[in-house]
Amino acid sequence: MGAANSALRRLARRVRDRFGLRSRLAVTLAVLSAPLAVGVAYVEAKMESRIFVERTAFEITSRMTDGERVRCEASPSTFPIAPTPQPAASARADEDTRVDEGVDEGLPVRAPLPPMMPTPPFFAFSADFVSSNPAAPAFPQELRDGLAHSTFAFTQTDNTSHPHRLIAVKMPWAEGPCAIMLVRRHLSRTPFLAALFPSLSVSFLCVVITTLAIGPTVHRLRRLREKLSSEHVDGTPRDEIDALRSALSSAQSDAKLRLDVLASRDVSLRSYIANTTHDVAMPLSVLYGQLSALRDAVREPRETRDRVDLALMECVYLQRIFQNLGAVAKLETGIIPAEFVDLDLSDLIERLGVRYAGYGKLKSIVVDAATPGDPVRVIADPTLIEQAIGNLIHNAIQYHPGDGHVAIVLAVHGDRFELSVIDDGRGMTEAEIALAVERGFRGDAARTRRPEGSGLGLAIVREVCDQHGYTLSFRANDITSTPPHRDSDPPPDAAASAPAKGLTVTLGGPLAVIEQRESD
Amino acid sequence: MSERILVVEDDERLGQQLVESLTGEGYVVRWVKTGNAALTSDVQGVALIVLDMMLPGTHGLEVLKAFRERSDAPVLVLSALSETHDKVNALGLGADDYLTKPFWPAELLARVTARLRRPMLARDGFIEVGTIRIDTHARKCFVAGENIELTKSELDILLTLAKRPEQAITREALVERALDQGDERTLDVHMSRLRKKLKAAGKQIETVWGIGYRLSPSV
Repeated sequence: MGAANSALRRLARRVRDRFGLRSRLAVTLAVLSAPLAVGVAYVEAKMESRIFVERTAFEITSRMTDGERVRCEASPSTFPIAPTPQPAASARADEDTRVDEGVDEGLPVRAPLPPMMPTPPFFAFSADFVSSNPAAPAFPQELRDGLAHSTFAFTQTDNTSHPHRLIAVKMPWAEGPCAIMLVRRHLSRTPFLAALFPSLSVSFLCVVITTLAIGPTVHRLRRLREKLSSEHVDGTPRDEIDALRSALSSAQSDAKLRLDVLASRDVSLRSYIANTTHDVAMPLSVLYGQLSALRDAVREPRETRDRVDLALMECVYLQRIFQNLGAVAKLETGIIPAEFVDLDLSDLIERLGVRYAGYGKLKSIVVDAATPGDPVRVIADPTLIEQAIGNLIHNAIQYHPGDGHVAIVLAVHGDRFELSVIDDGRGMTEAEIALAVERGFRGDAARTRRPEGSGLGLAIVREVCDQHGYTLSFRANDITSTPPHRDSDPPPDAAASAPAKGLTVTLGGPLAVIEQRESD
Repeated sequence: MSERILVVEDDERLGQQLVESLTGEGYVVRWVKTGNAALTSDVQGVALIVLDMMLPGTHGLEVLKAFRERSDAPVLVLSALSETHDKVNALGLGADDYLTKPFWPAELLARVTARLRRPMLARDGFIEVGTIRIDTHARKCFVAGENIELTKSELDILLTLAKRPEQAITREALVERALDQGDERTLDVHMSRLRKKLKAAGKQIETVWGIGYRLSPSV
């Protein structure tokens, strides 16, 4: 058994290696459908036999009941059933006779029975399986057993040179020598063989059609495999599916390798960013502290103090560039994804106000911040929002000529917040405002003063606004640079009262839902 | 008595700088340079902890967790890591504030002051800002002990400013909270009269450009 199995496996492998998918599919279909066809033929033969036997039993019973019983009991040893008369003139005459007899005797009219095959061997038996006909065969036990449960039974012999059926039919009466009729029908060929040929033909046709139909699909698989494996030569392609699997596996391995490389690069880059951030942040912090202390200590000469102020401003600018580059990495590359959390804008604005007040002092610019007093809660990425608002404040100070003001105002209107950064600097023209948010755009005034800048700040602000669904607007302001008039003050001069140039940049967005519920 | 601050910072120059600036503001500063030293430090009586995240030996977050188990003192985290999840992690573990490096020295001092500031709110029904003292129950205003007669609107304006000392309040907010009717021009008129009545103390009310007004404790 084991040897047979291994031989079969070797044969299967040889076939698999030798033939392509379509051939194998055809062989597989043929191998699977052949037993199926045989099974169908067998079932069909059985059914055909059953039907034939039932029909025969019915005919015999009908004939005997119709009048043949009398003839049989009159001569049981020689009784055959006479062939049915031909349907020509004699049939009509018989029909007329039967009709006449029917009319006279009140019996229903019957159509003449179809002609039967040449009279088969036919034997009459009594109820105890004894025949008066010397030529009658012994009544098979199998048939006796069958008649115990049914009105007819049969046996079939296929495996001899003269295949035949024996059909036993039990009559409605139990007495007399003709209670059971036994008929032997010769079979020209076994029913099974008769049914097998059509069944196998259908099976063969199915195999052919399927093999033809799958051709285009196999051809497409082959082309797909060739496309995938054009760089991966598989020395032993076994069939189209196998080769395709090999090619897909290679492609998957390649993709995984590249993803691993990218992930590794991502980790390395994050680590590099973290280390670089720390390595740059530390000396910058020290610089801030030392220069601030130096500024406080040095009042004269003015030139020395100005130099210290300049150094501090460069530190601030360097920090801003550094942080903007980090924001770009976050926004454009997705290396560090944005995280939206519940954030109190009031707290952020107060901190930024303190932070930039120090920077503003370097240019004699007063920086003030105002918040509603209560928390103003939004859902935002704190780092990005701080960077964006910081950029707006930084720009307001950086491009201000000095000796002026920057105000940061946070207000709540209904379910929205509004943050304004107002300055009384040189402002921007309408054309510059229209272009203000383009990446790389820098106004002429800014360009003249700091040509080495990259213009990232405003573009980052716009990107952050887009990510958060915030609005951003620029407006040349018309507020005066003078405080409200006080009685004790000298009357304001015309210059001081004149509307100052400057810019108001407003950023607006929705409050966090929690905030809205609390207001409700 | 001066308040005690514990500084945990491993960088020599930055640590020295922190000590100097905090000491200059009148705080008593103790400085440790490693996480292990921080873990073994006595935090009893410490009013505030300034904690660097990138420490040799023990990570700052571990030190933060340990501090939270031993002390209720506010913790102000200093870190070069500026990403949101770094801040969220630290605040989630109990930090009270997060300051990203590099930072402006004045900002650190402002944050420390804000954490240690005692609320200047109604104590027994009185609010004091500089020389101005307001009885919120009797609705009376005193400057250096002298009763100052103010109208309802003037007192409401002064109260609104006094409840948020040193913070700028917009004109719009003042109109909304302090005036029953009127606009910003009306507010300016009331403010002018209020300053006059307060005399020298009126200079505590500062005009804030682009915003509105602010009540400062000093003149």
